[in-house]
Amino acid sequence: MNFFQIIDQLAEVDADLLGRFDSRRAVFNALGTGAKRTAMAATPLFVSALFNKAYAGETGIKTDAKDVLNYALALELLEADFYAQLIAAGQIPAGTPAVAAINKIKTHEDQHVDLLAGAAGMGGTRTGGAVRANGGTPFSGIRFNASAIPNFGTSYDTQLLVAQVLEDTGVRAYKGRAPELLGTELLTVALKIHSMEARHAAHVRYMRYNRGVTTSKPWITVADSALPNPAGPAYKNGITPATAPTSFTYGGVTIALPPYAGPSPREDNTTQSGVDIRTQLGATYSADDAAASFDEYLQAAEVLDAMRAGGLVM
Amino acid sequence: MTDFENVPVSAPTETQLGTALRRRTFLRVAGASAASAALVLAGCGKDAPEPVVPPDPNLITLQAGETGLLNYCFLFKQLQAAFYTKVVAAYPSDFTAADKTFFADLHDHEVVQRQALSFALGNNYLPPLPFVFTSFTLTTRAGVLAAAQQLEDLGVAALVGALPLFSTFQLRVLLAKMLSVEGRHAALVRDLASPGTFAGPDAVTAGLNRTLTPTAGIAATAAFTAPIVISVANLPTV
Repeated sequence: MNFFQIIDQLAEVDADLLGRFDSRRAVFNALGTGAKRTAMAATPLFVSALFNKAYAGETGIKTDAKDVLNYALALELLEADFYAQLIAAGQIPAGTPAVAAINKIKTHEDQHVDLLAGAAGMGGTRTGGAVRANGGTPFSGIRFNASAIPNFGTSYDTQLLVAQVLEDTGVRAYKGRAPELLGTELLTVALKIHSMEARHAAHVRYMRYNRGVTTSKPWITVADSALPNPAGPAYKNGITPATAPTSFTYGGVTIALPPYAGPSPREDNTTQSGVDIRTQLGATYSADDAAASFDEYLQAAEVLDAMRAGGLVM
Repeated sequence: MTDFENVPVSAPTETQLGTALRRRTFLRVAGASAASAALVLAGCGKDAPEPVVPPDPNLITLQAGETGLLNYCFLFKQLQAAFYTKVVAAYPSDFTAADKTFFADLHDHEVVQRQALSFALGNNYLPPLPFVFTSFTLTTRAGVLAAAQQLEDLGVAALVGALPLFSTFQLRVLLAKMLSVEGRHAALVRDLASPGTFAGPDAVTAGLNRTLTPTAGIAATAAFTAPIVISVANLPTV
């Protein structure tokens, strides 16, 4: 059996058909060239080469579902209180679609809190919820520290920027831990929420776009990783202290955090699993395309760092 | 390679594209599709016996396990990339400058993601299919946005449903990186179609994104792949 005969046939199919269905002929003119041959000769599901970098959950680190869910709850509580304060500040232009949009997002965050911590009954006591169902004690009372953001109460544009940062951080945080969840049911719930964070993030970014920040597309481009504080760190990586925390405590409830495996990819990352997306997929793509086509994860130690969401917890 | 001898081997002219290409595509897909089996036989060389003709040339059965699952995800990327390729090649006349900017990006993202999955699949990838978009109105802004909304919402829900079926951690991470970008796309095209509908009730219930099993997801693509039928019968279900 001649392995390369197979490759030649596949390349022929590709060049013949793809070229007609995609206006970017250049993509496919490269088929059959060295890069594509290498790609095709790669081991099926080239998993080992796909990710060189290990991080928590991958290498058999014991993960408690209740801690993952409680971690998610901490972020949802932060977001829910953030939107409550944003609405209370009264800066959303009255009579614009922004009012309904922010209210809708706030409602979603409340629904996520209910799902994780249980719905509040008479007297405000929460019962049930995914954290308890998995043997944990849900966080409660986590608040957004508005005083950490200059002009938060008076600047609507600042409020929207913080909303964008929190939503984008939420996307990164769910991505960082959801894959640890084993069993389709919990993972499915986490992914449904993860997708909502992405919808929220896209909408908030589009709101900013419509307010004249035309660099704020619904997806994360390279420039976001160069944003000044307090937004920038959400798109970068790394932690402030030399030693990463191994747990997170709030209101007497403590969760274990997975070991920190060194800086996660930044959002301006253009390389996936050692493959330069700009040049090694058979055509040339811009850095913005390469970066925006993949959202990157953040590990818990990074999300909870004082320069990111951790610094906004009160 | 009996199948291939009955079809023109020279490139069809543009005017022939309709039927000739369809037929060639279809045959090649069928020939290459009994997935690895036919290809392995084909690889035996000129002296080898003729490959077995697949019993139903319209049927593509995705492989078992994660290869099939990844091909299932790849199918949506192929579908979306083909759609945006068509749109960017001839924007509706009422598309705004901003629309064009966004759709150029959407196209690029989908092509990048498709190529990345193709790369990940190595030589096990599903051959490109001749998608049919006749159910869409691609000459008006409203028609294109409605179509994009349908495909993006479908893509998100399909990935939410497929991702937990992967047992390999790294693949779950890779697909999660694409899933949220898909969610961003869906939110934008909805907002473009009707402002503020980034999480409409047809896509989101009680603050949670809709999910589709592979069986439901593939059914939703049937109209675009016809006459080719793709079976997900061998994919994992838990």
